[in-house]
Amino acid sequence: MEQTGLGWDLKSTFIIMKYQMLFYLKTKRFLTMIILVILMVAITVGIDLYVGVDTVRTEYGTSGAFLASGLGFVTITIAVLAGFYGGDATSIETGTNSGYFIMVQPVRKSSILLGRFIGAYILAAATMMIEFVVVGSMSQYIFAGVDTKFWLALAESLFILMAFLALAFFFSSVFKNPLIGILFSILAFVLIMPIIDVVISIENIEPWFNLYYSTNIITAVFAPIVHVSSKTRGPITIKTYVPYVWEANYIALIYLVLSLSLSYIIFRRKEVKPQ
Amino acid sequence: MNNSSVTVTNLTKKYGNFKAVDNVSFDLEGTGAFAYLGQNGAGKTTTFKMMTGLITQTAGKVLIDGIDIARERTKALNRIGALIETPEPYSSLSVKEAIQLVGALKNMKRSDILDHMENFGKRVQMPDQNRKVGTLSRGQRARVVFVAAFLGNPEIIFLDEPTNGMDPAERKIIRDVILDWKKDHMILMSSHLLQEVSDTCEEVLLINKGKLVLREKTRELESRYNSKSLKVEYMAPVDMIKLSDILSSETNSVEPQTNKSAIIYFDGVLQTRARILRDLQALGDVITFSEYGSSLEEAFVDLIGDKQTVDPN
Repeated sequence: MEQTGLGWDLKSTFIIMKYQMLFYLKTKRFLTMIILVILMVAITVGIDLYVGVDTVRTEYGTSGAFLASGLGFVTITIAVLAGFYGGDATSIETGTNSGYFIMVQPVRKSSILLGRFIGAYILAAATMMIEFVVVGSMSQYIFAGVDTKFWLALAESLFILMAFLALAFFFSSVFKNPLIGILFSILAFVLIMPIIDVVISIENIEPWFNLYYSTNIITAVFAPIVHVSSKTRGPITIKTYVPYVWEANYIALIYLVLSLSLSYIIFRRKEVKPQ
Repeated sequence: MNNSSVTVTNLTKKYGNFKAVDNVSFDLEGTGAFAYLGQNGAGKTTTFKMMTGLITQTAGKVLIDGIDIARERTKALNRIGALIETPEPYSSLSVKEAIQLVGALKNMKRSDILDHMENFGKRVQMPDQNRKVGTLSRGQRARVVFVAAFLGNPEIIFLDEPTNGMDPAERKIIRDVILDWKKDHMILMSSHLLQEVSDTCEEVLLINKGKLVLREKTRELESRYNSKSLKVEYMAPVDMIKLSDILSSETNSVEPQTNKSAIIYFDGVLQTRARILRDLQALGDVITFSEYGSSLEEAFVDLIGDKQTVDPN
């Protein structure tokens, strides 16, 4: 097969994806992430097992309420996974001598970017699923069933993870140093964006422009969505916003498309300049 | 028969107001090894990067077998093997995986990749296939990327200082491969090792401050620049002061090395050289009388005109 055309682009994307996954597995990034997620889930499960099944059943009442609480860590899982898997995705080519190894091969930069994105996404999604499997299993064990909204929460999580990963790819194309890209992504996802979300809400503005805002949907789906609720304490009224499903999807979609497009444009223009 | 061609036309790369490569044009055809020489910062690597699509030129054009690299990058890269700067495969991959990745991207069959690793790898003494790239020495890593650059039997090979970081034994291995491959491939290489260039390349292209200043057959260039230094060695010790005295009219200087040998600097004229030999024989039995240093080096220094910045390797 001549190394041009759509067929070759797809094949080279697959090759890059395969070796990207191998790279993550070999650097033990995948294993580290799995351990981290298991530790987070273990806290939830551990507490439930400690207080006893009957107590948990009485406290939550329904599988939906239990799942909403049990999946509370998913947002932080998504943030960390996206940062670790995406924060160095393109800077490893443009900021290190690895670029001189891969970029002189007959492969499009779009295939490199897409292959890396798919590879990173598969491993990040697989890691995140551990949390869903464990919490879902607990619901089955305690409530003899799983709320049907569980699948919607899973689908939303997978989609939002994709958007976070795309944003991390964008950061990786901006920063030259792979390590800085990872650290900045995690800092942005775990600290900066949540703070913006809270501050904007206090100002009674819906933070629809913040990707972090969309993550509220993951646990909100288990109950009827109350888009705006107010709490008044003395003279101050604070509104709390929760996105609708469509709204969360739009936010994630816009971030996904914009971030990937921008990271591609930057990656395409950027020259290999090792640190 | 290899009908490969590389055509570089008015190639220019500007960084702000600085022209790293300034209106460089040349074309190469067929087989053989061509040297692309210049001082550090002369624009050699920048030219190689533009020729492989690693960076975009400010102006000009590069055609690989008639294919414009700026327009059809992957199609052009199909035809070449390249080793630019110091490529580093992902450190967590094994040697085998790193080579397989490149082989797959060159659309090679798995069995062909393994064959190449077996045969070519053995020839350049590639490190153990199962070793992690991150555990290799600089020279070992360089041999791995050298094997990768030759994957898929590319007709055109760009080598940017291929023996950088290698010890003399490793350099010999690479030199032998180049000598063999240039018979039916086109190789364009840069190197600071002028003796290596003299041994392997038929033609020299010299770039200085971004501009191509010379293109000439290596032998013709060397013959234009006969070495202006000679090494003499006697069977028995001689009086070095006396040696300097008897050569004082012919030479620029005499530099004793031991009490039996010395380096003589002269005007490079063959008649002078003959008279020096005659005078030297008057002092004792001469066992060595040969050129010292490379005439290519003389040419390099003369053409660039800045002895202070020439790498003497």
